[in-house]
Amino acid sequence: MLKKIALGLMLISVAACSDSDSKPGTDPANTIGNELRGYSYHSDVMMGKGRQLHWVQDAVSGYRRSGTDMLPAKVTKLKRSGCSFPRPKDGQAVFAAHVEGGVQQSSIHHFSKRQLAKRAESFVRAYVKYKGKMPSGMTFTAGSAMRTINAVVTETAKPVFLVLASGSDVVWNIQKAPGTTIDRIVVLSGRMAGLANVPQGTKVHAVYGKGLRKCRVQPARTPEKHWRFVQNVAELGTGADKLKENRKRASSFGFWLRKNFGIAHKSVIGDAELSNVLFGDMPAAGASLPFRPIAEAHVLLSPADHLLVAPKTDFEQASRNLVREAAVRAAGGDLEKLVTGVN
Amino acid sequence: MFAGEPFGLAAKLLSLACFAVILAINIDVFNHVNRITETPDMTDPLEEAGITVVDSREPGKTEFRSGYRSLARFDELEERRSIRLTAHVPLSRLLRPGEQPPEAEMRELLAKTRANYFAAQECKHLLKVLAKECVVDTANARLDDGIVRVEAHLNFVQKAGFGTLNTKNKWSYSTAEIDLTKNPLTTTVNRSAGDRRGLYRTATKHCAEIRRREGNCALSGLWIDERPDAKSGGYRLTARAEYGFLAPVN
Repeated sequence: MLKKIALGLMLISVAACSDSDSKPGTDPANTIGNELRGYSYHSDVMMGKGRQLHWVQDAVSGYRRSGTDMLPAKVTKLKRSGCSFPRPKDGQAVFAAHVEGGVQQSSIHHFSKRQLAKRAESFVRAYVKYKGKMPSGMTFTAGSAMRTINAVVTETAKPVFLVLASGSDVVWNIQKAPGTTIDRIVVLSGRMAGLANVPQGTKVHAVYGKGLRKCRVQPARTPEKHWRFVQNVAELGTGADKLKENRKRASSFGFWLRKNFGIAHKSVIGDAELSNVLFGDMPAAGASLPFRPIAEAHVLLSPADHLLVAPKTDFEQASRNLVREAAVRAAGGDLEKLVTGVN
Repeated sequence: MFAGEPFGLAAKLLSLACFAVILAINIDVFNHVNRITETPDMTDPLEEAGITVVDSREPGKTEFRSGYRSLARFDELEERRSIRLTAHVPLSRLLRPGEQPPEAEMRELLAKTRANYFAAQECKHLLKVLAKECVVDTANARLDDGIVRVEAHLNFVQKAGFGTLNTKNKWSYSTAEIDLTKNPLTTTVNRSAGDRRGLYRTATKHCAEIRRREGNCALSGLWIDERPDAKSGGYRLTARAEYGFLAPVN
C-alpha cells in the first residue's frame, strides 16, 4: 500500500516537473488590464515589434512561469558600469524594451536597511499599542520578490545589441534562439536589476539604483490616452504638471536612446506590466526555442542590503525574524521594556 | 478602456454612483457599529455621590461638557487628562552606557523606539512633582542631525487632592486656561528637562491657587511645546495648562 502511495506521489511530482505551463485558450489581447501607466498583461503574453501580442508558448517550448519556488543555481554580483555607454557597432541589430514591471514573481527577494528599519518601526508601534500581545494574524515582513521578464531573442541575421530598461526590480531572463548572437546587453534600472541565462561571451553594461541618476538617465515611457493617469488628468483636472513632466522625461529619454543607440523611442517594446518580450520574428511553427527557466540558472544581480533567495514562505519567515531582531536591538535588547517603560 | 465605447461616460457615471451608494451604506454601517461598540460611559461619579453639578452636560444632550469627565473621574486615569509635550534630546542620550549608535539607516528606528523610554522617564519626573499615577499613551520621535524630537502623550492622575464638595450646594462647572510661559522660555537640550520640571511645578501652583480661591481644582491638560529658536540657537519653550473647578451656585 505504502509503495503504491509512494509511486503515486512520484508520478504526480514527475508530471508536475515535466509539464510546461500551457497556453491560455484566448486571444492575448483579451487579457489586458488598465493600469495607471499603461496596460498589464497575462503572465504568458509576449510583446514583439509593433506591439504585437503573442503567447510566449508559441515561441518557446517547455515554458514555465517563474515562481518563488524556482531557485537559481548561482547568484553573483552584477557589476555597476560607468556612465559612458557602449554604442552598437555597424551591422548590429539593436532592440530595446522598457517595462515598469512584470507579474511573474521570482525567488529573489530583497530589501534595504531603510525598508527593514521602517517595518521594524511599524512592529514597535504595534507592540506598544497591543502591549506585547499582538493579534495572531499581525506579521511584519520587509521586502518583496523581484519580477522575472523573459526576453526572447530570435534575431539570427545580425549580432544583437539589447537595451533593457525597467521601472521596478526586475530580472531579465534571456531566451536565446539557436544561431542568435547577443553581443551586448545594456541594463538600465532605477532600482534593482538582474540578468539570468546571459549567453557566454555576451558583454554586459549595467547601470542601476542611484547610479542611473548619476548618469542623468531617467527612463520614461511616453504617456498615452489609455493610461489611467492620463485619463485622470483629463477627467479630474489634477496632476497636469506631473503629466507634463512625464512627457518631458519621455522626450529626453527618447532623445538619449537615439543619440546613444540609434533607436527610436517608438520602437521600444514594453508597457506597464509585461512579462515576456520578443526581439526578432516569431519562430515558425514547430521551430520554437527551448525555454531556459530561472531555476538552475546563473543570475547576475545588483547588490542589496538584504538578499534572500528562497521560496516565499521561507523568505517571509526569515524577513519576519530580521524585522523582529531589528526591533529588539532598537529596544535595547528586550521588547518587554517597551511595555513596562523601564529601560 | 471605455474611451472608444459609445456608453463609456454613462458606464463610468453609473459605476461612480454605485460606488457612492456603497460608500454611504458602509459609512452608515460603520458609524452604527461605532456607536454600539464605543459608547462612552455616561455615568457621573459625582452625581452618584450626591453632588449636583447643574451644567455638567452639553445643553440638551447626554454628553459631558469638554473636560468635565476628567474632573468627575478625578482619581482615575482618564484619556482626556493628558500632558502633551515635545522635547529635544541628543540621540546619544537615548543610548545605554557604552552602547554605540547603530548604523545610519537604523538611527531613526532607535530614536522612535526609545522615545517610549524617554516618555516613561518623563512620567517618573511627573510622579515627583504633579502626578500620583502616570502612563505613556503614545510616544513618537523624529531624528534630525543627531537630535531627536520627541512627541509624548501622557495620562496622569493628579497628586494634589481635588478639594472638598458638599451635597447641600449645587455646583457649576468652570474651566480656566493659563499660559505658563507668558514670556516664552529659551532652553537648550541640557536644560529642557529641568525647565519642564519647573513648568510642572508652576502648573501645580496655579491649581493650588484655584483651589484656595474656589475650594477645588483639577488639572485637566498640559501642553508643552519646544521649538528650535534660530535666534538663540536653542529652543523656545511655551506651555499652557487647563484647569477645571466647581463653583457653588447661589
